Amino acid sequence: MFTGVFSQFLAFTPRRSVTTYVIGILCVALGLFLRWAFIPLIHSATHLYLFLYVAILVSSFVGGLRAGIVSLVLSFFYILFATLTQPLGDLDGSMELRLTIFSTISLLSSYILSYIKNSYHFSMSVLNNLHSFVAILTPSGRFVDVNQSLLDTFGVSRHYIIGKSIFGNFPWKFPTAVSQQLKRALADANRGRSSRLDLKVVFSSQDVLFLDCQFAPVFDTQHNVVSVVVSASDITSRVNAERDVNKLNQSLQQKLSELNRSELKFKRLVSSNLIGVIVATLDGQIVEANEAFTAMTGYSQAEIEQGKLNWSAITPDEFKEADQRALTQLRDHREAQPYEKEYLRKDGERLPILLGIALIEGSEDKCVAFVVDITARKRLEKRKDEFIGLASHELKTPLTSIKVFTQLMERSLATAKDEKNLSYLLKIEKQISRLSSLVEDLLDVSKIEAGKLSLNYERVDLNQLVDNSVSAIQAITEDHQLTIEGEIRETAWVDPYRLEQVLTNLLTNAIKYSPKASQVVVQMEETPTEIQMRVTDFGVGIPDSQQTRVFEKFFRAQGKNRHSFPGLGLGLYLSKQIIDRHGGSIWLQSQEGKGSTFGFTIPKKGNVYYEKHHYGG
Amino acid sequence: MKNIIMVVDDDPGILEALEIVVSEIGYDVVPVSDAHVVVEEASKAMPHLILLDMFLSGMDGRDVTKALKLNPATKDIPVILMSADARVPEKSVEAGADGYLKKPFDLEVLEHLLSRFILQPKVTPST
Repeated sequence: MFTGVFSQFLAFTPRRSVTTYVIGILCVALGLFLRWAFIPLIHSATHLYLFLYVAILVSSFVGGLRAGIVSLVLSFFYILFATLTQPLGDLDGSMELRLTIFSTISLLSSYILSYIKNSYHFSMSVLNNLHSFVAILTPSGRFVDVNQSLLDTFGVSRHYIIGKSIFGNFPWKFPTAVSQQLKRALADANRGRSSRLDLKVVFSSQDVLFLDCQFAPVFDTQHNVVSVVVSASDITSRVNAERDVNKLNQSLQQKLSELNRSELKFKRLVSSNLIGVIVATLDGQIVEANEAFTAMTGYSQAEIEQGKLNWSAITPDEFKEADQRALTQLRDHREAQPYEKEYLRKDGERLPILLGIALIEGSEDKCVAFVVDITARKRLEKRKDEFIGLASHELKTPLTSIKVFTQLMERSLATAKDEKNLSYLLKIEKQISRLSSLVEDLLDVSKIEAGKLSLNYERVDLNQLVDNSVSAIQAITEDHQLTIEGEIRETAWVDPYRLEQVLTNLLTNAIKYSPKASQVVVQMEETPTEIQMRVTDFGVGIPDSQQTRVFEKFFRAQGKNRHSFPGLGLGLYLSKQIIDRHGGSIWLQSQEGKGSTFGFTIPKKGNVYYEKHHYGG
Repeated sequence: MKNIIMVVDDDPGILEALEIVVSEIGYDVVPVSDAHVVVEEASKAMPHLILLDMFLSGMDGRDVTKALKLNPATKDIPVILMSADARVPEKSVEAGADGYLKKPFDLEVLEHLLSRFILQPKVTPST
């Protein structure tokens, strides 16, 4: 136990070192020197004890307990030696007793002194090594002491800060509200109450520090407040983090409510059942569908929930190609242009629909699609097409009659050499031809709309075909010179009747839209797989704004001053349909006031794919 | 005696026109407007050629053609199908007709067609 207590004593002493012994020896030497220096004035054994006692205290204070013990041992032996060699004046009695008392008192004093010193040193070093800030203030708020981490963080020296008031001028300041809080906390401490507050400190460099502070009173034995201890921890990163979290939270809340709102809108759209809405995977599985969808297709929610419904399986074969195109668009652009197709209802009936698809945000294989039932529109379109078909057929019948009779009359007049009436009749015939070609166009359109336009492919010498078309048109035009440039060496698989229709159409257009020009050029070119033809006029041209629409049904180009040219606006539409069906493409290059070039390409081998899939090869 | 041509069309206007034009060219004409009596009339009149409209009310001209070709009495009479349909050539071949005429037609085309099957009218047309 003694060893334990002693080692605890020694814990307060610096480690054993030469310095310790030197201090112990030097202090005793100094004490003896001072005593010797004072001998003429004071000369007694009492003084020897006194000087050595002081020397031991100094030694303990400066060098710690170990140095004190060294001094004590030295003093002990010196007194012993001095007493034995020469009498020491006025002190009598037992020298052993005096030495024992001296040693005990010295040892205790030495211990207490070094304990006090070291425990102060210990406390200060604990404080200085604290991460928190500690300041000891007078009750009025002046700094008595501060720890190292406060000095480091606030960038001031101990010398600078000690004695100043916390409200004094520093390279930092507190916001007004905070100063008020500080005053209150100090006043509370003076009343003996601890208080806690958050401080905001603004440095002159604009850096901001947030502190969590505690003001605590320190009492003396009479319970008077003698000082105030302020401990504070830096909570800047916590405050900043909290602020960031708050901000994040706020924006998250906002996003969530936006999301909620948009989800509500979407839900409303889905539940309104105005249109069919489905969620499906790209490989066909329909995952969700609203009532509008189930109602129009005849399938049940249960079938969808069981994963039994596949959009690919309920699509008739002829729409698979359109579906593939939509899938390609989806992969490339995340959405597909709305397109028309058909689904097979559960009862086997076909359901014409308009379908728009978009990939779901953040998903690569799930899409949301709207499905609009267009049965009514299709029915109406069908009736319209049937009407056009019927009407033009009905128109054609009297035309056939009229044509027969005019031709008969023409023969009679020719035989009778009635030139005047014959010329009138020729004018009538010309108008009949025009009328019958308009009716022919209308019939063609109705066939296209009904999907009944079929091509009769033949191996055709295109030079011959172009020659025929150009000659036929040249025969009825007087103002324009039609020229052919280039030639095509290989024959091609085309429908000669339809291709001639296209050429005739482009040529009559070229003439019609260049009333003041005198030339129309037909150019022919070929590649190993394709032929290309271009018809160029030097007429009014087509404004940029109208160029994309010229191939639309019933579209008619308008010249300057809204001057329009006669026609139904079907020729270019039909031409495009015919070229498309040949597997080719048709285009326009035009400059208003300069003229237009209509060109098309078609493959030499015909549109093998289309015919195979639509007419069984 | 002139060669006889039977003309079948359910449209009175066309029937009249064909009747006139064919007789102008120089044939005797047997006009028929009801598709159902064609085979019967043809067996009676035994025309040298039948001009038959493809779309007749109540009966398809192609079925009439097939019926004519199945009947031993009429199977050798050339049948020419007439239509405004652009696909009249293939449709005519499919039905077993001997020729086709696309409406509206030019007189020259009709004349040429008739002359292919009947060498010439027995009497030159009176004008």
